[in-house]
This record gives sequence, structure tokens and C-alpha cells, in this order.
Amino acid sequence: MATYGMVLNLDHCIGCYTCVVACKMFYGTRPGVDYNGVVPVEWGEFPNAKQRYQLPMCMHCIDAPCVTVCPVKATYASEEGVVLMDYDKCVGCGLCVTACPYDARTLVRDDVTHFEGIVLPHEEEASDRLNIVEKCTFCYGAVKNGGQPMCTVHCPGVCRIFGDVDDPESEISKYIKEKNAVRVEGTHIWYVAPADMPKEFLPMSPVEAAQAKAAK
Amino acid sequence: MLKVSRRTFLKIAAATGAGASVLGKNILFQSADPVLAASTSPEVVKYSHCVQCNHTPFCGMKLIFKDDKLYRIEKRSDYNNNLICAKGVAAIQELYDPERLLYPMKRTNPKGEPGQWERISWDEALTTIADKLNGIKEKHGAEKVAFITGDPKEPRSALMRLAYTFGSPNFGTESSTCFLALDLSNKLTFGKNHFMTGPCGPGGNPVPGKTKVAIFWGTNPAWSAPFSVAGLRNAKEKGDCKYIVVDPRVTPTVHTFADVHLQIRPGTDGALALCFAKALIENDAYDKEFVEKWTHGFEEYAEYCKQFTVEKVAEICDVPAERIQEACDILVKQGSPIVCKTAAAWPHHVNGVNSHRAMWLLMPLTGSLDVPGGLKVPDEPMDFDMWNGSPGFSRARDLLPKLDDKRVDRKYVPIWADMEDYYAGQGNLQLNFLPEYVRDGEIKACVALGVNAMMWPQTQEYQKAFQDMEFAVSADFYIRPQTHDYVDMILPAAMSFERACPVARFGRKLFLREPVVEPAGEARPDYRICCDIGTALGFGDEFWGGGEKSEENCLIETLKTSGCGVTLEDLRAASPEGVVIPLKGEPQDKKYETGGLRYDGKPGFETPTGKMEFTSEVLRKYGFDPLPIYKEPTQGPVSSPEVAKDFPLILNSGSRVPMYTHSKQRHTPWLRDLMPEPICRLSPKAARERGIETGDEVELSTQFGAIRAKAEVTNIVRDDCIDMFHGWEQANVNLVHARDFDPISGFPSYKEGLCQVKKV
Repeated sequence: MATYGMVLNLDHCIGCYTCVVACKMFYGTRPGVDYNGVVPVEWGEFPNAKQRYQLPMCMHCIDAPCVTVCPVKATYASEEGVVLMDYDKCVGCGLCVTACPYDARTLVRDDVTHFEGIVLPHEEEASDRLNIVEKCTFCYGAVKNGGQPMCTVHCPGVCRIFGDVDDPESEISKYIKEKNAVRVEGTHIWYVAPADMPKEFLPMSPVEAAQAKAAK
Repeated sequence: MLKVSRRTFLKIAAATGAGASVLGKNILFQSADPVLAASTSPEVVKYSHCVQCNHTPFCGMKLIFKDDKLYRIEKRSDYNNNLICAKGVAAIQELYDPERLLYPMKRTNPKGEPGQWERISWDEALTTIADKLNGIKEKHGAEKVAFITGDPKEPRSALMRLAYTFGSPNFGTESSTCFLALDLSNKLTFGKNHFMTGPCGPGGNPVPGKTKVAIFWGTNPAWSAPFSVAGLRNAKEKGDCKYIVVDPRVTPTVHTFADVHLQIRPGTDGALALCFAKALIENDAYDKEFVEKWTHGFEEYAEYCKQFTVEKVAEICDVPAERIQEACDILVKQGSPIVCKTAAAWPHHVNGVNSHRAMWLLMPLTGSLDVPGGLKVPDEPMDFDMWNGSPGFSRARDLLPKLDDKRVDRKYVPIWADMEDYYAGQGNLQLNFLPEYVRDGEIKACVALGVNAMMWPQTQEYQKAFQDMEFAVSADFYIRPQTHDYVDMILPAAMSFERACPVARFGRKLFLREPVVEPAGEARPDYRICCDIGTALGFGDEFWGGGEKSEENCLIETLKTSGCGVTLEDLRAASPEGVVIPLKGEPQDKKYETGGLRYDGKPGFETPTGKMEFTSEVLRKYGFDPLPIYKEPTQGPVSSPEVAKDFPLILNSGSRVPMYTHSKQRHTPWLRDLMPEPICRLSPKAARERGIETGDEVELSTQFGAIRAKAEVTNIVRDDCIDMFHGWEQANVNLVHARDFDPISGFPSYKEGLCQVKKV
């Protein structure tokens, strides 16, 4: 049995957006449907000003509110802890979108592609999906075939490490130990942050994130 | 023949299925039905490299095809540059972009008006081009035709061959606003360019365990070369090298590398470099033996540096003196070798070449020249030119010297023209004076490949220059109104996956790039376009009769004349792997001792004194101060305080963003969504003082005009600066820049100037 996890090394992120675009290519997602993001955050003043990046995505919560709330069991967790979607079951009710503390889910409402009226080869599969919810899958299919998530494959900053956190010999387990990566409580995400990054910018647990979302 | 605007044309092309014969894949260019359910066909893997930023990195790409259609792009393992960025991934959208230009077009309305385009055949296009150019040649001389490339850099050697064979020396590129002033600075200092040895090239990278200090100076590889960051960071983690980052902005390069960040006022780099030199000299932390034996003008230089005290330079650069002292202490205590890694931001000042020389000289001063961990000169350089053609192929070595007296740039920038190294395959007209050349009747026509008029300051003068030419033809991927509204004809160019030339070269390793798809519509590879035009002009023998075999013929000729000993068959047999050309001898350090840096094989440097020159005898001969002097920007808070009263902010433009390269990729949805509109960045303090918030529409004005953009309030810029990316059709920052040029290089001052920002 494996448990999949991902480390986000925020100290290594160079804000280049490759993870975002690589994900969009791999899934052929429609305009406005992004499974991950890059958000600049800043603190300090000249000559000590700082800019770094948050990397929002599905955190693959351990007791995921989206799984609990789904009325048709279209959202489920795999045995490795990956929160997945069964598009055939999804009825597009959107309850999971509201329930997600991280706003990491998108209800696909508009039948649009990036070039008006044209479906490019990599968009063919996604162009069949409408009125369903999409999200990050940790590239489950690719991973089960021995691959890695696309955002990880394509990160020029090498700030994402993915793998089986149950296996002490895996790259991710060694990385977590070596870098003292912090687990985001209640999720399958770990992070390494710059020493001076204010706490408010660090990845939040589902509970903290839900509170922050409610406050908005 | 139908007469249609661009928009309508696309619709008609779709409706009539124009070009439907090509590969049967034109469903992608028809707007009718979506392609149906995902294919279960097997995946086919092909290999290519990326040219989304520009030609030189050649980041490797693994392309996944199904049913002859490109489904996915992945990075290519076991390749020299094996990490691709957002722009590279987005190449899939560029390949299949329905707005691509697919057919040759001639205009049906006067130049200067929004282009009305009529589709023509390649035969008609080539016949017209030949008639026009040969007519001008007959009446006025071949030199009246300019040959110009923009981005990508790939076709340059082929266009040179076309220009020189036709009889014109007036071939120029966008690099005469980019990095070639750095090349000039290198040559003034140590004689030859040595194949991109300059700190702009890979020679500027620190080596783990060897390099003691690395100065990343005005460069942000995190956004200009993302593929390189992980390697550079590994090197940092392995070595005991200290990093100084000099940049007016807070970039990811700063947070990834800087032990000390000097966030200086733009344009003051030269003063900082002279201050570093002063510290090294005063503390005896320089290489006395090298300086004594191999350099010229040291006494004069050392004397000049004395005035650049930490306190004075802190004031000039507007950074805390302690920070500068800290950087000086690092340089003095760490010792040598050092490297200065730089980029094309340097020459974008009126004192750009001298500032760059001041920085460059820190390396020889510390004995860091051609030693491990310092600025290394390649061993046994091969006879390729900068663009991976060869001087034999481009004919820069045999034909260009005979045409030299017909160059039209010499009276504006004599050093630039005279310092060109034709033997090394150079030939670069300084294009920044194009309006003057056309005004004076010295240029009457042009053949342009991938040129965008927005790259020049006071763009409208360059647009007028194209308009006033008797004939202008431009090849491109798209119809670009800012340029093409002023030309007579446009030709569809094949994008990187559709073409072969030139080879990718990493030092002594060559890779062949086979085309992986047929060109869309009637697009042709730019090397072929050059051969087809050459053939139409009457030079069939020189261009192998043009046609489909053009690229292959050009590759064969390039490889043959480069003396690398590798043939096209060798590359093809090895493909997709590359071929390494082994050194004949052992690698050597300090080749100035053994004759490796001069054409005559004698020890020393290819300079007037035969030595590395602290005081440039070339500059002295041309009436310039021979020292790497510091001068304030022409437009700036210090030199023009009266202008600064109304325009108090420094106009810093041209820095990189991660999603675009210059004016490119605005068509590409994935990238455009990341920055949909022109952004003017200003600091929280500057914004507060003006009542501006992020998202507000603002007017950015200078003495020369105004443009509108969206404000982004960010602390990555200094309080006295704004940061505006270039290349936006709707907000072209170069419209508000002055045509102030560096008198040595003729380079424009994109990183100077004064402006004001107000909420609209």
C-alpha cells in the first residue's frame, strides 16, 4: 500500500507558471478551469522587500469535505489518499465546490475552448465534459503507470517532489526528512518555506482554510 | 481574386477548406465541427527543440503524437537543456493557432492604413519580390536593399547569404538593440568575441568548487531562462561561492541566489563596478602578475577608480552604503576567480558600452580570465557563426568584406561598423538608424523575417521608414498590424516543429532537428524562403534552385564549411541523439599565453596593443575617452532635474516576464491568460502618493507621449521606478521612450528616461 503525497518547496519556486500551463496541456482544460495556480505574495520594504509565490491546488485532504458532501459519490478518495472524480457519476450540483476550503474545484459550465469553435488534439477528452466538476488528480493515471504529476515533471525550479510517503526509501520521504518539510495538517501536502515567509502566506490546514474562506 | 480583410479571410479559408490537401489535418483550421472522442491510437514520440524565447537555449522537447496530431509536449531527458517552461509547453497552441498566417499575401490598399490583404501564390510572391529587388539593384545599387531579421534568430545565416549574394552588406538583426553591444564591449576589451564567451553566454556561469564570487548583474534567469535555474542552484548548493545580485527589481533570482542584493537605481551599474574595482585594487586583492604581463592602461584605470568610494557610489546608486561595503568585502575576502553573469539589459543606456566594460574588467582584474571557475574561452573553436550557420555558408567571410564600403551605418556608429569581425561571420547593420537611412535614400527596400517595429523607440518613425520604402516584404507567423500595416507583402513562415534549420549546438555537441509536422497551409521554413528568394533573384546556383530540399542543402553546406567533420548523414544516423565533436588536443587554460586568443596564433589578445585593455585604444582613436567612464543617464533625476519635476519616476522597461518573450505569444491563450493586459508596475509608496490601486487604469506619460495600462502595485520595484513590459500593441512602451542612443554602440536607452503615472 502506498500513500501519495507532494512536497511544495516554496523556497525553490521561481514564479514561472510552468506548472499551471503544463497541467492545462495535459488535461486540455477549458479556459478558466485551472487545477493549480501561482499567486505572488509580498512583504517587507526597500531595500529588504520580498516577493514569493503560493501554489494553490487540491491539497488532497485526509477527510475531504468534498467527498463527504457529494450526494452521488462522484468524488472519492483512492486507497492512496488521492481525491478523485468519477465524471460519469457527477451531476454538477456544485456542493463540493462550495465545500472545498481551498477553492480548488471548478464546475465546468461553459462549452468553450481556447480557440473559438476549435478543439485541439489535447482538448478532445475535456471537450466532452460539461456540467461536471473538475480538479487536480495528482495525475493519478500517469502515476499508476509509473509516471509523475505533470506539474512536477515540468517544474523548472524543481520545487515539487511527489511520491509514496509510506516508503521510507522514496525520494519524497528522503526529501521530507532532509529538508524538514512540514506537513499541512489533514492533507497530503508538505511544504518547505523560506525562513522569513510570514505565517499568513503558508499553506493552511483544511480547518484554517475553511475559516479563512468563511471570513471572506 | 477575392479581396478580404484578415478576419474575413480566416472565415473564408475555413469555409472553402483552403489548404485542405495538406496532410488531411486541416480540420484544425476549420471552425466547423469539434474533433470527436479521444483517440485510442498509439502514441508516437518525436523529438524537437523549443524556440519560444529565441533560438539559443534549444530546450529539448519530447513530442507525443496520436494520429499525426501533436497531443502533448514533455521535457526531453538526456538533453543539454532538459527543462521546458510555460512558453515551451504553450508551443502546442502556437502550432495549431487558427490565426496563423497560412498564405502569401499582398496588400490592396495604401501602406500606413490597416492592411487589406489579398492571397497570392508563392510564384507570384517570389516573382514580385525578384522584380522589385532587381529593379532597385539595377537603378540604385544592391546595397539599397536591407535584409532584416527579428525573432527567432534561427534564419540569420541564411538571410546573410541572401543579402551578400545579392550584393548588399546591409543585413541587420534585432540584436542591434539586444546583446550585440555587449559583444562590442568584449571586443574592445579583449579583441575577439570568442564565440559568445561573454558573460551573456554560458561562459558567465559559476563552477562549483572553483568560482569564489558570482555576480548576477542585471539578469534574471528565473524568467529569461527558467531551464537554467535548477542547475545554477545545484552549483550554488555544492560550492562555497558567494553571490552578489545587482538588480533594480526584487526577482526570483534575488531570492534564489543573493548573499547580497544591491537594488540600485537603473543606469548606475558602471559606478558600482568601478567601486568594486577600487576595493579590489586598494586591498591588493587583484592579480598583479596578470595585470603586469597581459594588460594595458592599468595605472590610468586604477587612478580613475579612486573617486568611486563606497559613500559616493551609495549615493549615486541610491542603496545603503553598508550593502555596497558588504559586497566589496565579499569580493576582497573570497578571492578569485570570479564571474559576472549578465544579460542584454546592460547596453540599454546611453553609457551602456562603458558601463559594461567597467563590469567586464573585474574579471581580468582578478585574474579570472580563461581559468577554471572564471570566464572560460572555448577550446578549439569550430567555424560556426553565432547563429549556428557558418561564415562559409553565410558568405560573411568571402563576400562581405568586399561590400564593406557600402554599409550605411558607419557615419552614425563608426566603431560598431569597424569592429565587426567578418572573419568570425559577423555582419550586423546597426538598425536603430533605419529612419535616417530611408530618409536619406540609402535604403529603399527590405526583406524582413520576423520583424516587429514595436522594438524601436519612437516606433512611429520606424513604421514610417517601412512605409516610405519602395518595397518591403516580411515573413511571419501572424499578421502583426504594428508592422505589417506598413509593408507591401507578407509571407507565411513555418514554426519550429515544421522546420529543420539550423542545427542545435551545445558547445561541441550538435543535434539535428527533423521537422515533425508538415508546415501549416502554405507556410515555408525561413531557410527555404531565403533560398526561394535567392533563386528567384537569379542566384539558382548559390541557392541550389530553392524548393523543398532547401533546408537539407543549407545544412549540408553549413556542416561542410564549418570544418566540424560531421555530415548530415552522421547527424541523421545519430538522431534523436546528438553527435559530439571531440577535441583534437587537451583542454587548455590561459590561452592568451599560448596564442589561442589571436588570429595569428601569437600570445596575447587581438587588440591594438595585443593586451587586454583597461584603456581602449580603439575608443581613444575614435575620439572617445579610453577609460570605462561612468556617466549619468541623459534623462534622469540627477542629469535632468527640470524634467524630473514633471516626470519624477524612472522609466524602466524591457525586463522579462515569465509568460512572454518580447512582443511574442500574445496570441497564445494559455500565456495571454496569465497576463491579459499591459501592466505598469509601481511601488506601494509611489502608488499611494498617486491614489492608485492594483487594477486601476493608469496613464504612463513622458515628454514624448502617453500610453495606458493597468496598474500593479508591487514591492518588487523601487519607489522611484516603474516597470513596464514591452511589446504590447495596445500600449507600446517604446512610443514614450526617447531616441537617445549610446554613441559607441548606437543602442537605445530602454532603461532610462523619466515618466509620470496617473490614474485615468
